[in-house]
Amino acid sequence: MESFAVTFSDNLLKSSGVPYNWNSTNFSTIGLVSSQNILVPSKVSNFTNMSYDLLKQTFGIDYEFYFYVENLNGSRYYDIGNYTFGQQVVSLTRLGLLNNEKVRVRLIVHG
Amino acid sequence: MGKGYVFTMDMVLSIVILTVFLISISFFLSRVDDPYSNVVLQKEADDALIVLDKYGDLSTLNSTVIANSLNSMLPRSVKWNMELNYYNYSSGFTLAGNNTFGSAYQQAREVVSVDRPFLTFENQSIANYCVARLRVWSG
Repeated sequence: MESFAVTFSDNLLKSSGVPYNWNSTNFSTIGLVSSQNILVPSKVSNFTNMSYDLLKQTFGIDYEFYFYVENLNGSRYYDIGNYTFGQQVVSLTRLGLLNNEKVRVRLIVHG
Repeated sequence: MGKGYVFTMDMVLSIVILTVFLISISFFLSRVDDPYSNVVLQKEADDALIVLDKYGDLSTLNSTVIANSLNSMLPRSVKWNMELNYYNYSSGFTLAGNNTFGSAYQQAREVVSVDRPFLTFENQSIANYCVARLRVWSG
């Protein structure tokens, strides 16, 4: 679960996805950035508007997860996933820039 | 009466031995390294350096700006120390200055360190070649 959380968050924060301008109906891999840790609003929006079940299927996720992006004051900009946490919970906080604002990217994997 | 006293002493002795045993186990378990925590710390430190660089905080070389930014981004449970070394280039790199700030890390049990090279500019030309080394640990 821990290594999955690290790998999953790395995929999202270190890659642009394929094709670069992927969307919810046309993608082979999903990434949220233009370059390392620079989040692209349209990519994050596409990601958080996708079907949760489709995302789990795409990433081959056996766990539940909850993903969100918030600024350093805690205002949440985007979120997706299941936030009814199970008994095992792994929480990971990553950092990035969104519209040149410092943000936290939180991934909570549970099951 | 005598029997009861012996029994009580026996019980007290057992509790003392059990307590010592549990404390020993707890101590040794706490000494076991947690590789997951180190991976997470490394990811957090790496992210922090990237954001500091791309946001422009690093290139200010201003310890107050960088410290405020790190304090706002990193969890309170994470302590940090920043070391900045800057070099000039003139037929080779020469150290032009350095600055270390943040918490003292020498007493920390396990420290994760990440480096990032970056440049500073003046009048649209390179002023310094710099390396930031961020050390983090659980406080």
